[in-house]
Amino acid sequence: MKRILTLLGATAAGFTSVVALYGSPTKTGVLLKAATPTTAVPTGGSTTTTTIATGTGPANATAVGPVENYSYGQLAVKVVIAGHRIVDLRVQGLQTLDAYSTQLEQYVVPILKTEVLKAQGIRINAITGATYTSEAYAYSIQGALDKLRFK
Amino acid sequence: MGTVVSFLVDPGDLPDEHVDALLDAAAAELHRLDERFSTWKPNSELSRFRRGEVATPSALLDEVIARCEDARDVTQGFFDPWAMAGGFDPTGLVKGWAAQRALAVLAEGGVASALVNAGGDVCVTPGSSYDVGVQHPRERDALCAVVRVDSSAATSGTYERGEHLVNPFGGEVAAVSATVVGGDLALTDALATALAVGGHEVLSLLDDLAGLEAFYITPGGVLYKTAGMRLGVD
Repeated sequence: MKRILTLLGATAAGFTSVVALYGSPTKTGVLLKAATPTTAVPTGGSTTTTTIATGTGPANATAVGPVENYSYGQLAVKVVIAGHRIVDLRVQGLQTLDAYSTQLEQYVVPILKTEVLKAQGIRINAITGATYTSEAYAYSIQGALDKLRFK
Repeated sequence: MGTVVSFLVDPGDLPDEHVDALLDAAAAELHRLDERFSTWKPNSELSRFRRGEVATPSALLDEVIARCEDARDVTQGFFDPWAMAGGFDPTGLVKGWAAQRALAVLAEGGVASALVNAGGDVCVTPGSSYDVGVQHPRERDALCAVVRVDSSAATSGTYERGEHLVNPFGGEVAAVSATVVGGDLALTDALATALAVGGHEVLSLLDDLAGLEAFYITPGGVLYKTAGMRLGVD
């Protein structure tokens, strides 16, 4: 009983879309945080509801989305589908540049890339912070879904 | 521009239809609050209030105002919705407060556990624990911390698009990114905003508050944190 449900509501500001991913936390990886409001959300006042994972795609599949290039590196998202349902989303193929480093009361800002997190067995359930990276996640996941014709 | 809200739900024994209905109800609650508290919609209660057209605020608006007053007191004025250009703007608190209300819909509906992420403001059901990555302010594909969240976490930063931080005291904004973990998300959200604006002064305040940990990153790339703040999980 795992699925992704996307609700896109159109408002000029505020809560414009809802992405829901549910299932056991132990089986979910990166939480889908963002659709891309600039492209996915209409600017009018209507509300649309889209349910992804309706079973029109393959029953079981794994796909890695397109690698998104940024000035600092690369990002891709892996989508695992079982029984027509998305069961796992993970960030793929990132590398570490740095480890924790400390000075007295000041700290160098850690740069944690997914490889490190994976090596430590850490699964991220959600992201707090910037908007653009979550958009990249969504874009890449959508790319992976498209690759599976799973819309 | 808008905020994306994500739900991560462990439904436990609830049937699919029940979970769908709960998610619909949680989303409806968010839309309802957005209708009331949008600063972008001219006819929202908040917009009318800002124009002086609301003689008697609704119970919800009263609650938001009271929480803003509390947050302003706790932060010694570094979070001050009354100091915003254009008049009273509680947006820095309402997003987290609304997420908490949406979470309550799921919790009261009987899900085993749930996480709500309102544009980076995260809250989870009591008794559950989730690992939340904190976006690195400079490295787009990296995190700067992973925090274990059993109540709430919020990040405020000048690097985020559309986010405009104002120092009520007229000085510079101290941080490019500020994260607060713990407590009620409405307050956590406001505290993160205050920490981003006030930096060291606010961090000292937070160090003395039980149940809260925090860190912020300066434009020069230096991280300051409360004594109990851990930047990774084991």
